[in-house]
Amino acid sequence: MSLWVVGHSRVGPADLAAFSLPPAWRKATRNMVLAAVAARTALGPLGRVLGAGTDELGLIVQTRSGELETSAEFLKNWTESKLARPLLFQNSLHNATAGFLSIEFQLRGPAFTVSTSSEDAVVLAKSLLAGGICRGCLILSVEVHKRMADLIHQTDVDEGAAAILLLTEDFARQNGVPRLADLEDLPASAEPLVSAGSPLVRFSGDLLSRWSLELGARA
Amino acid sequence: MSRSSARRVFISGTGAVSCLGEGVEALWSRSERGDSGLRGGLGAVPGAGAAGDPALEFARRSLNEALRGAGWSGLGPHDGFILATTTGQIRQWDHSYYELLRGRLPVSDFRRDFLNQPLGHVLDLLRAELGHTGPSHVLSSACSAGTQAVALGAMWVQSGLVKRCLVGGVEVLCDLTLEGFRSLQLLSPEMSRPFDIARRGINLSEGAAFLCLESSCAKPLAAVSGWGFSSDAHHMTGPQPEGDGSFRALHQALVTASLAPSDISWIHCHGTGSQQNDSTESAALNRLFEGRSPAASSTKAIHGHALGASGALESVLVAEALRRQISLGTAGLETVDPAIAIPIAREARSASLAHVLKNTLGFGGNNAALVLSRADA
Repeated sequence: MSLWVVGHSRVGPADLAAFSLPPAWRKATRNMVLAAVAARTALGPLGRVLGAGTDELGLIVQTRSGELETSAEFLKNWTESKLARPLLFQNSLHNATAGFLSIEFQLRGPAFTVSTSSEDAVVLAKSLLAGGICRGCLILSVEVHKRMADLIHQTDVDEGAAAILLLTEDFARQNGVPRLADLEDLPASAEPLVSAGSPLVRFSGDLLSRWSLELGARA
Repeated sequence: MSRSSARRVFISGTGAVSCLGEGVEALWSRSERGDSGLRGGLGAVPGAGAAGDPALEFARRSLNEALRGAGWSGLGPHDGFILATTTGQIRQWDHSYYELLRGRLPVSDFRRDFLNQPLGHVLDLLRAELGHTGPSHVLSSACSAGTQAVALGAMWVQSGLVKRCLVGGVEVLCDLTLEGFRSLQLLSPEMSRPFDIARRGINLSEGAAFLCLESSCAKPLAAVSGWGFSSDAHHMTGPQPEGDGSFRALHQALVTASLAPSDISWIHCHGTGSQQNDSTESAALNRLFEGRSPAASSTKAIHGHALGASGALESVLVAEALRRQISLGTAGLETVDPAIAIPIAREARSASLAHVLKNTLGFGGNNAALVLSRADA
């Protein structure tokens, strides 16, 4: 089965500086906003044909720390004032970002939240596509833990989001979406970019971030 | 791919730790008798307070039972390992965080405990103990994660990506989920009453369950025949009321199993006892079976809702049901809500079980379903 990469994006904190939040995103966490900005760009090539949404796209959100900041805020409120805020709780779940994205972009296919690496997220996407579970996958890595990281004096972690839109060849052709690259032609690892110490890849979405950099360079 | 041509995926070993006690036998026998392990509306694992790292302990004990049952000495480089959880090792750091906020714990001590924060950490520890170097994932898709883990493991075995796969889930009771669900007014102070007209909410529980999956074994317990997934894209915590999303996951499970609705002998529901879940699930199943649903059950009033581990725990129960040819009842049920459109089984009984649907619905509108089958069906 030929898998085409048809969209990609990479978003860092600087990209949000001038970003104006849509009203529907006012209650979104930082994870959700980073992820949604990345997803919107990556979905761009298919967005025009998504219409009212689709059952045929899978969504895989990969994050090691998940909604850590929100969880910490919930626990802080609880321990200091015995106040449990339901909005904080619902946003603290590890798959809250996936839920937010599925609602925002009306993605009604399979949705997985993976808590290891972006390499694993790609393996999962390939499994779903090979198994005929869906005809495309938005694979997205997101990491936000700056405050907690600073709290414990970790300085070598960054935050950001990176996304790849992967379609089966026939689904892409059916919807007139051009190919940016064949998945198998992309590097299997984020090295040597990680070794080079690029600040753009200092989060668990290294692989997707590297792919987005490469695809951007090819354009 | 037709059933006849697809590589079959068998369950060769299972393990469980729950509020019903240690092991699959305790989980099954009390579920069959309707003997609930809930106390004060919660399902705590007996003796869990003494465990230094309950998540790791629960997982270790249950996976070792599964490995022994399957006759596996460990996991090789061609085996897979998929873990489901929503809270991971949160109990290793949440109270440390409180102490830090109160100025009673040095940052260095908190940092030591905080290293357990990533949900993948418990998998890392287990893999290190097993010497596992093959493919692995941690799935954290809320209440559907365990079901997703079983399905993904079956997909990996069927496709030949791995030779065998250990799949399971682990969950611990903690302030985040207890107070969080309470803030959403979803907790029941008493034993839950799935599908009952007077149902008041869910009972949270903790525990772990694992299943060993492989394509050939001498004494399979059951088989994983089909799987389906979907998203409601509706609301962060409430299911889409008409059950469209759940229907699509259930339907896909039948399609991947190459089965018709009439092939299903029994349904093991998500059946949490919340107003919305039970109504939505009933609507989805009624639509799938076009008004001719087989009997359905929920066992959550016995063992509680173990969140990310629930799909794995309940798949272990269904595998036992298939092996023993006994369908389980629905403890806590007194009067079926007239709005529930499917027949609900009250008591356990001997049954001719060939294929069983296992359904889950999760926060974030995440739905997952499995078809589990008798090994020779």
